[in-house]
Amino acid sequence: MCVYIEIEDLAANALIEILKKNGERFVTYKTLEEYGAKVIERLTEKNERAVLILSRESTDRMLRNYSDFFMEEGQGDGMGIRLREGITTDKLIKRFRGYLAWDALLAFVDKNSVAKLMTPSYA
Amino acid sequence: MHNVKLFKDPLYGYMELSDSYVSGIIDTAVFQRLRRIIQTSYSPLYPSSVHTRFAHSLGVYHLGKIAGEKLTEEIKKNCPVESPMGWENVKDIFLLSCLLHDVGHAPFSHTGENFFLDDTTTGNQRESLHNTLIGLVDSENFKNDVLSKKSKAAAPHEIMSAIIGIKNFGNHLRDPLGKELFARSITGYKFSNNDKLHSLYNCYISLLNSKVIDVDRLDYLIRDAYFTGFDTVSIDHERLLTNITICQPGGNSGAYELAFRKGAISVIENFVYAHDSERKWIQNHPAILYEMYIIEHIVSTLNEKLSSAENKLFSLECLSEEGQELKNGVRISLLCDDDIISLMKAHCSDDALCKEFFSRQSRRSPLWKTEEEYKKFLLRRAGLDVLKPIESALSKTKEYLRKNSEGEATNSASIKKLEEDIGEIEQNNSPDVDIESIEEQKESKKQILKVMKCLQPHCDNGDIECDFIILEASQFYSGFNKVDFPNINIVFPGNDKMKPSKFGDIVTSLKGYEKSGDNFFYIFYRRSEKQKLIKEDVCNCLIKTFL
Repeated sequence: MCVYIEIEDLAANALIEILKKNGERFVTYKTLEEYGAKVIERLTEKNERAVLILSRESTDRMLRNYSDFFMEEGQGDGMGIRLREGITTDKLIKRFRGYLAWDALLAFVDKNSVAKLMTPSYA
Repeated sequence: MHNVKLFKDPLYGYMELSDSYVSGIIDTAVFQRLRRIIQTSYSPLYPSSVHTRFAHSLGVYHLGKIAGEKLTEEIKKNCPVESPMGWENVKDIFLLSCLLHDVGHAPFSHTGENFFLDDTTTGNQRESLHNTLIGLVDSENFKNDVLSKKSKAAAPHEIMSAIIGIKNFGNHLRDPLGKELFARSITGYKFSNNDKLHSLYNCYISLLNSKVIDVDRLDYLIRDAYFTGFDTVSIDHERLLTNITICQPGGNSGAYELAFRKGAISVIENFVYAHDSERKWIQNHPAILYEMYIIEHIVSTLNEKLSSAENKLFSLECLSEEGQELKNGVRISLLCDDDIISLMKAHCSDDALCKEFFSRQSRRSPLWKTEEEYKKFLLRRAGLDVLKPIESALSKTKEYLRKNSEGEATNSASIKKLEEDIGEIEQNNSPDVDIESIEEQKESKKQILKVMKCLQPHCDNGDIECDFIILEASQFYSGFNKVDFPNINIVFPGNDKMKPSKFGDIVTSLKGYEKSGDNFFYIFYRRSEKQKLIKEDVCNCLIKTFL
């Protein structure tokens, strides 16, 4: 069985951790990719096959389907996902963490994965 | 003069291709593979919808020829900018990318595509698709543009097509910049350097790879409508493409953008309407969604059974003529629909979903068949206050099963697994997981269990098997609402023909609107040979008078 990590799961879980630890509401695509790679690594170590789905189509679909949660911001290397006003960690947890498999959730909150989110701009 | 070969197409009549393209590209095994890949997954609903990617590729080339020639003509007429490659050469590269844009497509439409991304290994490092393409194009600019856009990346089949195109047909790309332009056209990675020259290259790229209108989408809309028999609005492709031009929204010193003359306005609307129709009434039909679910599951099973860390079923090697050997002594080359069918019969014949693929008699049926029926049955009875938590629970159930179970079915096995999962959460001692997430996991999984247990009692008498699938259909989202649609450039004749109007500013599109004004007016006048009435002058006068 292969676990597919989609961009909305990645963005939501990244922003939960960033918001809780630093109060920041923005994450660049670059940081998301690094975080995603670590999540995959964690799942693979636990003998789970996992694939990261990152594409223009899936990102556009996420921004459309979850437009009440996320918006795109920035340019070039600084482009990323911003959490909309009024969206709290509680709302994100409620929407995006309930259905995750337990192993997937552990991979998202693993300290090595989360470390990738804690860049100097957020520290 | 080049020798040409003619291909007869039911949509466009005779399509002309040069002899060198026919013998050097179309006749090759790599391109002929497309004869055995069905374009759509619509045949469960429309039995005649068995047109191939081969025909579609020729169709896109044909439309690309009309569009490319028009764009090149407009550039030569209106721009003082010269390309070091020459604009005719740029056009030829664009046409090559039209012909080869699907040469790396996976079997069974887009269902198997994500398996191209499975590049994690437990052994030796395997290059990602992007790295392979970057290596082939060998351009620092391309590398920087691709790496900065990973989350806005091209679809896997686009990257694969660019790779196969360059590897197999690179002799047609005489210039190093030609390789880059070819790759960018297929993948849609525009030049981030938007000076005048590169902005014109970006215009060609947009003709093949755009969010609203491009020749790829144009062909498949026309082709799908014809072969399904689905009655939709007609698209006058010649009118659309012969009205292609360029503009400079930022003025004479600014970048160029693709535009359409005003004659294309009605066709642009029809184009979006036709796309909306196909998405709403065909792609979202439960028969199609269920077929895709079956194929996705079967392909995933085959991938598990046959792929090793190094040799994968969905890979460059399996698409090639040389092929490669997978697990169980299976050798695959020029991977196509036939291979998947054959592998299903050989390796998954006991799989319940495989049986459903081959025999419709055992297929699951939908409880309701349209979005409207769903709303009638649930919304009218439940009301919005109750519908919301139901939909939330259904969505969670679908997500949980899709991401965490074999076959995604609600049955006794998945109910048991979920109950075990809930037990595991309650015993949790991981310091990394916060209390809120644990509580949400418990709450959500209880809701999911409620949904599952809601379905179970209907099977207690044994007449119906407890074996349900929940699939989510996208809520219909019109192309008229896409961000890029109102920004399509429309050019009117006159002195400022290079300065476009935006489609959204001047056209009241076919969607629900509150009336924003009462009426609009026409002004008629008698023409004279001695003097021409200039409409800009009349309008300026009216505005000045009533300001």
